[in-house]
Amino acid sequence: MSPAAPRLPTSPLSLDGPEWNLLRQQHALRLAMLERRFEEVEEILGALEHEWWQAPDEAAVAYEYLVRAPALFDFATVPADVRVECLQAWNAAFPKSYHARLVLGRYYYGRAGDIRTAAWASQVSQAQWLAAAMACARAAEYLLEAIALSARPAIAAKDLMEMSRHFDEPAFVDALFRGETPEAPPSREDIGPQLYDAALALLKHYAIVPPEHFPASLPAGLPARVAGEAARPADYWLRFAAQVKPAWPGLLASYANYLTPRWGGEPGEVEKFAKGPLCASLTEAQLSVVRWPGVNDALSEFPEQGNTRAIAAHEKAMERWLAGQMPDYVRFIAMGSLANFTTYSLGDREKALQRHVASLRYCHAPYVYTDAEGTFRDYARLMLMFGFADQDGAFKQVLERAVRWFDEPTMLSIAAVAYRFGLWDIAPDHALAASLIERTAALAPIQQPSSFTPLAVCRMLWDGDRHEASVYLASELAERRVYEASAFMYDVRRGWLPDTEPHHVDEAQSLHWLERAAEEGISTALYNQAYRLEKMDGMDLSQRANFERVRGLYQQALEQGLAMALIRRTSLLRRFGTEQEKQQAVADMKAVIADEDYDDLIAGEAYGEIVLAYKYGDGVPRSEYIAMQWFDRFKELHPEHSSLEWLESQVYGDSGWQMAGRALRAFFGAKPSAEHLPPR
Amino acid sequence: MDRIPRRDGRWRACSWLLLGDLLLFAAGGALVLSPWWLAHVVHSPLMLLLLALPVLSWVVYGVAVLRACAVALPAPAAQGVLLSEGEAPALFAELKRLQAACDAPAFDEVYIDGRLNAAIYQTGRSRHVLIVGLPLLALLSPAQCAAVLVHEYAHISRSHGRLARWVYRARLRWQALESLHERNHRLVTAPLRLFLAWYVPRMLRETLAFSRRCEQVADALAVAVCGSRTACEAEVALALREQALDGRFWPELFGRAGQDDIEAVRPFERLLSGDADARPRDSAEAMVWVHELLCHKTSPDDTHPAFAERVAATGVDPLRDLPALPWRHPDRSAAEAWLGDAAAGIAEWLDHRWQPNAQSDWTAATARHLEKAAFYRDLLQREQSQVFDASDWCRLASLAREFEEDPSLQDDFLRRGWEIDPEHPRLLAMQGDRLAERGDLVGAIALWTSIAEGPWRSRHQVHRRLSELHLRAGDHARAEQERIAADALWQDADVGPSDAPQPHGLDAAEIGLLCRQLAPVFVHARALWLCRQASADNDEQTPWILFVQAFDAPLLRAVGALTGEKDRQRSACERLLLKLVPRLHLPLEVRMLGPRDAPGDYCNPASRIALVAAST
Repeated sequence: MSPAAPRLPTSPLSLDGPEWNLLRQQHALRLAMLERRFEEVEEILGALEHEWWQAPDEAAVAYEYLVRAPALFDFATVPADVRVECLQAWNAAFPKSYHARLVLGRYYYGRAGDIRTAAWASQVSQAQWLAAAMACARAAEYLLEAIALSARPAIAAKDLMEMSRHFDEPAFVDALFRGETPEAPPSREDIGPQLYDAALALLKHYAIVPPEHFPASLPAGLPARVAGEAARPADYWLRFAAQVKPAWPGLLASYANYLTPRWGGEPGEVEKFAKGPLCASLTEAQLSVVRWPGVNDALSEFPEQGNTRAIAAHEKAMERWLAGQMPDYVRFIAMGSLANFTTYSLGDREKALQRHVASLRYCHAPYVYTDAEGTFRDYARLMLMFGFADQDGAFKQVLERAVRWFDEPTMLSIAAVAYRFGLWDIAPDHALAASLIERTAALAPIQQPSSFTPLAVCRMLWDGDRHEASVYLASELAERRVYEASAFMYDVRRGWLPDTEPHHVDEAQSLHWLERAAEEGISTALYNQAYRLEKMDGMDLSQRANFERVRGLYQQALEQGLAMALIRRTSLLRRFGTEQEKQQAVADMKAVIADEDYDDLIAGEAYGEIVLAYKYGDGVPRSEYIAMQWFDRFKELHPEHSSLEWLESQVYGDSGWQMAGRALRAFFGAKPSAEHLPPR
Repeated sequence: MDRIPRRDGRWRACSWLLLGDLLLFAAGGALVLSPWWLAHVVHSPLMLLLLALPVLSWVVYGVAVLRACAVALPAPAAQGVLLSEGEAPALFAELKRLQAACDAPAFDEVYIDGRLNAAIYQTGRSRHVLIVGLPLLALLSPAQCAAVLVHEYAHISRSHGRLARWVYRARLRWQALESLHERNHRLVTAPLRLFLAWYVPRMLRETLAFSRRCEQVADALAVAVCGSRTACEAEVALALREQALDGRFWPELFGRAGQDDIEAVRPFERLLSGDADARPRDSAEAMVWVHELLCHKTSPDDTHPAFAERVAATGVDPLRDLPALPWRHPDRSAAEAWLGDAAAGIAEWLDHRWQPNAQSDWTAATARHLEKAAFYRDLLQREQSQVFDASDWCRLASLAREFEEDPSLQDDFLRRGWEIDPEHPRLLAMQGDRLAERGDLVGAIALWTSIAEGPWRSRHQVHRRLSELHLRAGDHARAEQERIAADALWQDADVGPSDAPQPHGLDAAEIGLLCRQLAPVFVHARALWLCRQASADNDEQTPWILFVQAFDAPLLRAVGALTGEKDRQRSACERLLLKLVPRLHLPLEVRMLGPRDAPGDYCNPASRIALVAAST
């Protein structure tokens, strides 16, 4: 008997009804896994697989969705070590089970993706790449075992194809195909202790152990590779998977995704693939599934308002696309994208809302948006910020489905607000709202990095004049210490948000939330705390201890990615640091203005610090003349900057006489060498 | 006997150089001695006291000016093999013969290096050094080489080398002064700065013209000593070899990177053996190359007259008066005749020296080759699952030519591309070339004629190709027609297309967006015009041109001229545009219009997108 299994969270809404069949199946599987009833799991997945192979449209069967670890476990409540232990126990109990190995292999592959995250490749660290590669090696091990155990290992082959494109095919697989014995996995000494340990830490988070040895042979029955497939292993797995399951749109669409320019393909390559031999027997609707990644990639960047040619071209392309045949779920996504474009490029919110509502007619239960970012974000923004009425009950329907899925925190947070305040024709239910808040908080640790979090919902509600709802959500989340809500509560209690009602402002509460947020390590809170100490509490920063304290807070905020903290820290160093620190501060600011990665706000602030440094001789020779030169350059490049007026008064004074006096002083004053002047 | 024409206009060039040198030393001296002569001129102690500090800065400036004058020329050093008479007696005998014919001093040293060139330098009072390239000796006949050597003798007998060093020193000196004045904008620099602005362009123009006259004088001696026909042949042979080396020999050599190790590569040994890549393929190709070369005109920046001018100076028309163009390698090269057995050793030495110097280029070429090979394999693999368009087949065909030994593969790729798009210009061109290689000139001409009728970026190249094919087919009349068409279309590569920009064709909303994005520039710019490039094929890639005229005031312009300070408004515009242009939704090229630049016809009210009332 296994250790006490975690409780399985269930949606507070009923899952009765044929449309929720998938969710009931998922629930049953999760329960069976938690209670180690692997035979039942095998039965359910076996039946689904059979149905999948028989179905004329395999997308109609939820097999592919359910034969995954996220379907078999609630990641929010089942810790990683329990998941892995459970999957391994399943494998041990059923040594000949294709599904046991498939799910474990897919688990490792999925975690490789979590480790890498969805960031651009250039932003992924070396440790992340290494850990992801190790997870992929583990995944490949089990997927190959799965292939050996099934006559029709279509999904295992598809995963290997995706892995080969998304990451790289693990080297041991390539070695086996070449008939060689794979080299042993690289050791800590081979890789370097620091990098290895960092990768290990990432793997440990998911209870993954790096591979200790590799298989010595490939599954029997795998065809040999042909020339060219060694350099493009995904092509091999595509060929194999297509042999196992021909005319499979899901497979072909997945491959096509990696032909888009985003993944290094050439423009038009997806279309060439769609016309190719592997897609020859697909219907027009099925072909649209294959083409969609290319179309979506080409139309994912919306033109700015006013860019009439690009807008006209985008609209024309989208309309042409929507005139074709396609499955409803593709049409739903495409129409949602069109709605998003309508908001961004056309600036027509009403039309955008109509388009969102129209798109939802093609999203059939139990399905809902798979991701809160993108289309749903735009829809939510229209509903939360601009107070549109819910047309046809569409938004309510989305929220109710999200509640049934019970796994997307941002949607659940909106639903919580809806149930708490009876929004969008949803009957108020405080208890249900509370359960949704609990669930949102529980999901916080596993939410992938995103900018549309429940905190963004708080802001949207506030900007849409639903202040009570905003404060309710924020305070509930802040009490549970998730989503940096404490920092938001500080802003509310401080009265810093626009149109804050007097009853929301509370100085004592604001300090409480500030401290709480700083304890949580929230960058804005650390920044605000430092700012308060520096500017508002009258702290004597000439005392080194005080100086270090404030600098430390800014530094922590900076390490969390808050760019303005760099400016404030530098300002502190410039005014109160040692001579060397002052010099370094000015050098840092000059580096900021030379770095195009910083936005205009930060660059402008950096200019301001340089101006003041020369005006007061902080770390550089004191020179009114040089300060004026830097100010003139600042004004030239950032004419709209918020600090321009204040800085001008510092440099040139407030009146004509002051200006004349300072100009004369500058003219006759010290003129350090030209290296201090702004660059040409 | 004086057989050397006297008129190389040296006195004019020398006068300019002397003017600059004298004025510079005088200015520097005056500044350094300013305390002394001021003390004599100004009698008031109070004035002297007031002037003390400024005068100190004059002295410092004067010292800086004199220091800038003292440029040290690097000692010329030859990079090749120093030959002794014993190693190449025939060469030295020939040199003596030519020296007597030219009535010129002897060379003190003779070097052989790796360039397709001959050069001299002169140091001290009477030291003359000749450097002649092994490729020159290997690819030209003794008579042709002799004409080149006579040319060099003309230079030393007229002391062109010494004058060249004076010119070089002057240029370095003025460059140093320019750097000094870039860093120093005080008013005291105004007089010398204004003189620099006036003098330097004129001095450069005169010295370059002098350099070209020296070449003409040297060419004239070659005609006088060797005969016009030989001199003309030498010019043509040299030009054809240069074209072959630049366009075929060296690229083919580096094309082997990725397959051969550099240690196995011996370019000079190959040149010595008369490599086929070091010459035109046949007389037709040679003729067309000469046609192309004859189009180039001498520009004021050239140190040598253009090919057409040099050939015309021989009095011989290479296309009419020579029995044949000297495109073949000579039966007996100058290297064989004059260096004999020593040539092989020299080639070996040059090869060994070339290898380490070319290593980094070889490595880069290897990387490019491997990348291309990987791309080719990738394309082949993609072909299994994708339906290629004509451009893809064209790429495959081009790569197959490079990577496959079996030519039928290229033919197959071309055929498949043609099936999709029978009028694809690149496919037609490749197919045309394939037919020509196989001897089917009629077919090749037909294909290239259809290309000439369709869209093609470099139209004159198409007509050149047709001219070559017609020559090969023996149809000289038609070849001449194509030549005339090509010459008419020919444009100097440096000048570029001369089509005027077109109206921008954008609607008000888009112009409004652009103006919002460019708003910060309006503080410094008086007007902005937006036009479109004329020569783009494709609407999507059409770049736009933004003409910007900064605010300008005569007083500020005068101050700028005196102090060398760049106009502030213009500098501000440039800095802002550098920041803003990458953020715009249009691909833009920015052109600043100076205060004296007349906006062209395309800068009109229709193309103007912003007109700001006054500077703020």
